[in-house]
Amino acid sequence: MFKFLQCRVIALCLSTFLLMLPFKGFAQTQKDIVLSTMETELNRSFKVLKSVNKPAIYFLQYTITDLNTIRITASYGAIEDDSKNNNRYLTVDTRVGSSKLDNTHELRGDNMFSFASLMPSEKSVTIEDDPTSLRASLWTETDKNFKKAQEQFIKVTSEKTVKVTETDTSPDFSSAKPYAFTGQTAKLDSVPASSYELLRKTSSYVKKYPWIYYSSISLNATATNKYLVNSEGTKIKNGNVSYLLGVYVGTTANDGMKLYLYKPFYSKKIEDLPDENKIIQTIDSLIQNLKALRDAPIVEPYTGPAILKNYASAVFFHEIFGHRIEGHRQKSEKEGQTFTKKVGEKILPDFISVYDNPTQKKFGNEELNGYYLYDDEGILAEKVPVVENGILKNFLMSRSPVENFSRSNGHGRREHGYKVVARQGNLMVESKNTVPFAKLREMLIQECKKQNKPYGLVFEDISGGFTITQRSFVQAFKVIPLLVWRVYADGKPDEIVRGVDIVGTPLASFSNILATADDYAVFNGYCGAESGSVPVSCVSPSILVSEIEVEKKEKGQEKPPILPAPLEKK
Amino acid sequence: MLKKIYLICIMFLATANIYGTSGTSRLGGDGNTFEKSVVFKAMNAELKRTTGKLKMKDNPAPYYVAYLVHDQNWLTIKTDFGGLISTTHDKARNLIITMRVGNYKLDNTNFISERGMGMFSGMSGYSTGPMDDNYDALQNSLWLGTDEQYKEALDILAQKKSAMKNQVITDIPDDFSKVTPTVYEGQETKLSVNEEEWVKYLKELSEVFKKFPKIQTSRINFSTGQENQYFIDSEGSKNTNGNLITSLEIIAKTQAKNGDPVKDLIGFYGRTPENLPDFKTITASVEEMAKNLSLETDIQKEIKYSGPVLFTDQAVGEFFFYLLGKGVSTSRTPIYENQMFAQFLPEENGFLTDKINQTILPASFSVYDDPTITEKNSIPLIGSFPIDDEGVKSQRVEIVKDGVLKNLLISRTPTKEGTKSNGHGRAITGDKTKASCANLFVESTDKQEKIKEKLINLCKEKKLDYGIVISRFTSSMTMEKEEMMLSFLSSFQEQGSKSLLPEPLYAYKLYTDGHTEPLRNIRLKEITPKVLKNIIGASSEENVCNLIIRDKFMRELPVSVITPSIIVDEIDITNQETRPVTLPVLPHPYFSGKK
Repeated sequence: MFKFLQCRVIALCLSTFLLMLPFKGFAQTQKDIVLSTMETELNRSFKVLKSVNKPAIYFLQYTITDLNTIRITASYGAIEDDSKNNNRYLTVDTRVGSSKLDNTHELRGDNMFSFASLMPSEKSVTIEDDPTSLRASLWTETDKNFKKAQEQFIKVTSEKTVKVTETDTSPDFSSAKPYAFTGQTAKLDSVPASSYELLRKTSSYVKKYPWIYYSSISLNATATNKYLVNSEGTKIKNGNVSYLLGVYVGTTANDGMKLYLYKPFYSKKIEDLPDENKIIQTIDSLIQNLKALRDAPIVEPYTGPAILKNYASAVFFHEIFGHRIEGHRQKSEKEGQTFTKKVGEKILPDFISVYDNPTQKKFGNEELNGYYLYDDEGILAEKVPVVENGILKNFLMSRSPVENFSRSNGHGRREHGYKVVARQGNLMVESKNTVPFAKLREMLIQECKKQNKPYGLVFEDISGGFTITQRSFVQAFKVIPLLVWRVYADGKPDEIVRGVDIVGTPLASFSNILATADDYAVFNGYCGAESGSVPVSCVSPSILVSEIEVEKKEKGQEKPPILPAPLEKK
Repeated sequence: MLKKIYLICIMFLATANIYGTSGTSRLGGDGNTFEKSVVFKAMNAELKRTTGKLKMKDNPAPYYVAYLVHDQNWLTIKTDFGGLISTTHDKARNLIITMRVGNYKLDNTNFISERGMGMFSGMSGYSTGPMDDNYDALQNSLWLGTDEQYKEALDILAQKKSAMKNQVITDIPDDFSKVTPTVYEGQETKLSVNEEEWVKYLKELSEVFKKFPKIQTSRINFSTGQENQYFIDSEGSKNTNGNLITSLEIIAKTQAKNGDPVKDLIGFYGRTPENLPDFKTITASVEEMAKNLSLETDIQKEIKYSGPVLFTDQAVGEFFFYLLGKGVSTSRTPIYENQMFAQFLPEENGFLTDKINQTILPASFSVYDDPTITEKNSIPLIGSFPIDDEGVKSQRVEIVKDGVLKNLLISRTPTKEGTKSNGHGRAITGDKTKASCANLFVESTDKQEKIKEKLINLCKEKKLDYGIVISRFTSSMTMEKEEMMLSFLSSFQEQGSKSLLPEPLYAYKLYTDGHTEPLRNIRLKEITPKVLKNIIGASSEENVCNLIIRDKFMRELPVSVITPSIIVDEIDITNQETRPVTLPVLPHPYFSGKK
């Protein structure tokens, strides 16, 4: 039981390690049958449900997510997984009561079974443009959701009478103007037949290294088309295709520690994915680092200066900073509200600004995975200046208002079936005070000397981590580094080390940023939290921090395989 | 059509080894697959390395290792109210590694550790392997899987030994029984289905519900798949065999006038799509089901009945599966590290195993289980298999002779009542291999031509206005995610109050004047194995029931039961407890515009 509750309190983000996706679009000309069927049934239902039953409905939204996915994985020269799926999922959002108080209002009482309410509620509907079948599904789901909403609203109103007034008395739903938009239709029929050979060939490359026990090359292609209509008149259809090629290698050190490295390549077009040479190069470099890691010494718990390299820093900002500026966390009585009362105050060094801009397609030449035009509440996405010159200005907002932030800025997001909350899109960390990385490294050494530390750490790659934002637990974070270097103050050569996780508390960590490099990099991934898994990006330069704390990593206890690899003897 | 399994068995004894006890029986085929198949080559090579060299310092080497490779290829089609929901192609190669350390007397199995609550221990040893016939990749996967399983087995054996020290355990059977190694080469199968035609038909079939305004939701699920298996173990058994299975299930749900949920599911099962009844027959059955379900919405549910019940069609198959098939399947009580888990994970089989040589059925009844029979009355039996999942040749077992229990169904896990496998060890994905029935044949020497008339006469004798006929139970009912969660949670509470039979899905009153009236949401009270003795009639007509039995984790077991319809006396029937929900606020969009 505890495990379920744990999912609730932790915004878990296995960012780099999740999925992959593609892109192709065609202009939409004729009337869309899915959209118009949704609209017809929505209008029929809304008209009746707002007048017959109390508590009555005041908002109804239908979203259909059409997912077309192809996934191919190869390992050791052979295809291991080859699947192709097409599904359409319906998600119904029903609000009863009024925008001031409705069924989505947070219940403060603890309910052992409340994890059930976080389970996604989705229904597969016809993948064909068949109005009769679709309307039948819309009807049953609406009825089911309406009744659930009514039940929930009764709980909400009765709790209001027995509990103290909440600190934030904002309404439950903000007003918004309706949007109409028809974007591209994303299509994905197949991937080139040559992809299979490419995966077989590149995945067999590790055979030369018998100590690599686990490895795979995977290709995921996804075409997503979203259809959204609501009772306020919003009508949106949009699609996108994305591809992800992932290279993964892993082994077990002699002391039982499982070690792995992963490199994802994300793109909107399959032709932009790396070719054979580039994949082999990537495998080579991962293997080289993995070998160094396998033989690397284990770091003891340490506090001292460190550099989070660009990519690692982007993951770090996404996890530790980004999740804390999501609007709904400022309101919930269960949340730690790290930054709620800090608007207008300095929370980062004055040379750093942070904004989230879902509408930005690319950074340099790199596609951004967190790109979208409209959020999952049908609101036009906006660039949100979160921190300007170190001063906190804004939160990322869905249509759930918080004190002093009454409107959505287009950040209400979810995976189909889940409830919408405010999430990040493309989080951009900007610095006005940058130096070349070599100089930053120099500054790290100076800082070590100043603090009398024999060495500093450079975190090159981070797999993800988790951050607890709720009050009932320690509001700390843990980040799981994949690749860490030790940089000695006395000029000894850098060495790879292993066995540590970064831990800390958010406010302290951000006050320790001393300088940044000019080497911006993009982290593209998928982030899992209470509203499911959503595509995200974060862009950041390398940052130097005066103090970071690392603790011992949980370690596997199994020895490496007893028998040599079958190919080893050959 | 399933290739007729070639069962001309050539038995020969291999040169006895120095212990003089083992031989090998060889069945079917010409051995080509074993020599040519890349899968076998890789399995052989790695098994040779494992049995010869795998040993951790200061620990025992494995005494038994088995590799089972399952090649699966499935097509699933779902439709709903005229629309296609999805077509899915699933292909996978699963590697299932069995590892035993210790010895036949005491090894790492038959033990539930505290870690992981033992609940998912059935998945241990399962992994996905390369789908390509790539020798290096296959051997590499087997090597890593074997290593992992060996270490886990050592760990479990140590835990088991330490748990046994603190418990008073006497007189326990061996953990694993010895068998004569068997070599069997069956036919590989290949999925062959006209996808386009089925999509078209299933869409049409789902449109049947457009004629039934009282039904709220419906769903059609069709799946057909091929499973080729390759097995090899360290005792010298090896086999290869292909299996096909096809199912078509139609689920409909609605509410009675008072809000009670009512549902029905009809299933058609066979080896290949061609084994299912023709489209016309299926459509007619679905219409019949929809018609009856619609009638159920209008009737009062209150019923208190005590009297004779006629079990027909699928229901009589389910009746014998649950009351007899499960009862005579030997079931080993594991050693629990924590006794609390004994309550959470009760053994559901084996409740008749202590009744050997006792009367459990009327004297006119005899029962046997024979997995080697592949069809009955030209209907392929989905419970059949030539070789069981532990590599043991399947065999006919005379279970009941003239009402008296004679033999049990046994796997390689010995129990007090049964120590020698008779080829009934069946593996269900996600569960440990257990003794289970396969093709259960129930025969009676006392048969009536007109069984319904017999029921009516009985009712007249007992001065009852009507008797009850049950033709379907819920054994195949699928659950959605939320329902599964509820079922799982409620399973912790329902100890002690369990009935051995699931709830009836379709039942009706048969009045003495011959007219019928459907019943809804009924349940059978206090069903114990004793009701088997209350059977007072059997039909001359035989039911060939192909069933997919689903447990609360939705794990599936295909079985066939061939049996007459039967009348059981003195069954108490009452209502299920239901949770009525208000009726839909709006009318169904399709029917609201129609008269």
